[in-house]
Amino acid sequence: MLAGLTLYFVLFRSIQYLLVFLTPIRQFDTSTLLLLNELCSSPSEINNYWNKYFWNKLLSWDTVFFIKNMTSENGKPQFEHEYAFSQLWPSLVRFFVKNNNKNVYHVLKVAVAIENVLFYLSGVVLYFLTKKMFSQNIKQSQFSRSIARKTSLLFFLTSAAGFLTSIYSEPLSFFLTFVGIWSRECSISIPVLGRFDIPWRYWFSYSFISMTCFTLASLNRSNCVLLGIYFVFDLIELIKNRKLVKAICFPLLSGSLMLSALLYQQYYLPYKTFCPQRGEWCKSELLPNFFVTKTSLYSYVQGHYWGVGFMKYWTLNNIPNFLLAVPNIIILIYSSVYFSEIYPFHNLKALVWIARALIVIVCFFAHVQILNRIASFLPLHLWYLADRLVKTSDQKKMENPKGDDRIVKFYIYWLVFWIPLQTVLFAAFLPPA
Amino acid sequence: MGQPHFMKWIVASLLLFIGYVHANTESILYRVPHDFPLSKSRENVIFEKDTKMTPSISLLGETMGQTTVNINTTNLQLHNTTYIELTGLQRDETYQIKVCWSAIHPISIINLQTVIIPRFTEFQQTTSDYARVVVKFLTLTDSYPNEHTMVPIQISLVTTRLGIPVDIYPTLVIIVLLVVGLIITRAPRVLNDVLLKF
Repeated sequence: MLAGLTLYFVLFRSIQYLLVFLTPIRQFDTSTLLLLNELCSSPSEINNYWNKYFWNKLLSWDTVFFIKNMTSENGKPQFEHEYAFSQLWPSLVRFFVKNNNKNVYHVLKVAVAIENVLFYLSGVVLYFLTKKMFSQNIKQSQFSRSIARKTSLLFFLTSAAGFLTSIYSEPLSFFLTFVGIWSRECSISIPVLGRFDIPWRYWFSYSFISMTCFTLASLNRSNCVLLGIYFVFDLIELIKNRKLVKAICFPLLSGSLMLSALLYQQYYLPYKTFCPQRGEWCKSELLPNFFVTKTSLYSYVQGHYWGVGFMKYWTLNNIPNFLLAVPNIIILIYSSVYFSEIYPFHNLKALVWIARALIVIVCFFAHVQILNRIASFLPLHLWYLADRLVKTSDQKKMENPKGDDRIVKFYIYWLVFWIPLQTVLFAAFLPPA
Repeated sequence: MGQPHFMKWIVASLLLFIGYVHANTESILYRVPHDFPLSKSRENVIFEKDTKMTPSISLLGETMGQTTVNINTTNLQLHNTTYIELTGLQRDETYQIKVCWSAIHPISIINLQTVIIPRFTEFQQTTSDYARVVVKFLTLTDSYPNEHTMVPIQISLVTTRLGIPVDIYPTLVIIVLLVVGLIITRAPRVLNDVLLKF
């Protein structure tokens, strides 16, 4: 299994990197050279063959903020809007950069290597998570292996793949999320008789491993804060079953620790850094000289600098961006309906709610096209696709698919065009971002 | 879906996106009127009163050109308007004027526009016996804390063909070849089969 997955991973990545190499060196947005002139002391290094034809093209869009942080002296954001980008991911790269060599190309190569390792490991963890999730009994073991293989392969074909050729923070969140979900899944008992439980012996795996993974994933990528729904869901289930002590020691404790970490990162730290001299969002504090403000720094920055807010993206000129997100919106909606109405799966209930929350938030509050980049932290739609592919193993049926299978076929066909196109557009510094 | 129809869709989508690029690029299109009194050689016609020169981009014999200016963000209130003279333009041609800066510098470029300086009119301590085309934009700092540094800004002047800037053509060729390749190799069906069998 691992050999096959590894082979396909290497094949897909090689094709993508070949496309980056073949993309013309003159980018639409010409600012990469300006950036390199400032970060790199030697013009001859910038124009070195491999840098010119390959590495320079990986510094498009948000990667600018990551490379700035990774190569800076203190690794801290310079401006308030830079707090919108993960501090954890650049810190991880800085940890691996040897001998404090902050040469931009050295850092870039290390970051790209870690990005690929994390992406690959996420796929491997997802394989075991899927196997665990779908093998409730021995009879299902063959089915679970098959669905796990397809899920991991589909994950390597994520709609974010173009961005993941570079140094985005998503793979770190993918990895932490999958480990966290896996750890939770190993901790909870299967509610065959409708009695949800978490045995005490799994306290460490639930309240430490899952909590830590979900917290770090959220600190790294804000969309992962939705993973907190797992703790809310488990809390309600335990209270319903009158297991109050467990409710406190497992989900309530884990959720509280996760919330505390987010409050520290989003409220306390920015408040101590910028207030009161900043004004603006500092003035929305709930109590005088208390760090909890009505708007978190993240929300403020997103609204102020990138125009993020309720239905602010719903303008005519953003219709193309909505169209780009349509395949993932459809597949997420169908997968949540599939696992809640058609094949209800108790273990997936929390994940279904997370998927629904993600769709609502991205469609109404965010730049909708980012769904293509962030959706893969949820394996729900991958399980839906894989499940349908396993159940439709007859190729003749796929010739003229109906219902869900038609959606699956359309989505796979879309990926075949989207991933290479997006890779070229990214390397050419062309939208969508 | 037919192949030519699909390609048209790809090109149309790309152009639509280019029109809505935000972030750290601003661009406008400028069409030179067919009766515009353009100079043939810049050196012969401009009379300088002192050594201060307006930065310029010359397209003589080229389809695109660019220049980089450094804007001091410390005293933007005094000098926040930048002027770039465009030379070597052709009548009835449409050009894309593109202003790019690195996102590590949190600035905004607003009011990007072209200005026509009539002949014999003094502009930046120079006069000319031909009308001149000048690009003008305002730079604002857009961050907390404000940045105090020299920010390099690159201004590109690109000829358009069929309404598309010529610097986009190589990328368009790659995209078209890619789509054709995917269709010819029946890549969607191949991947579908791989996923079914894996």
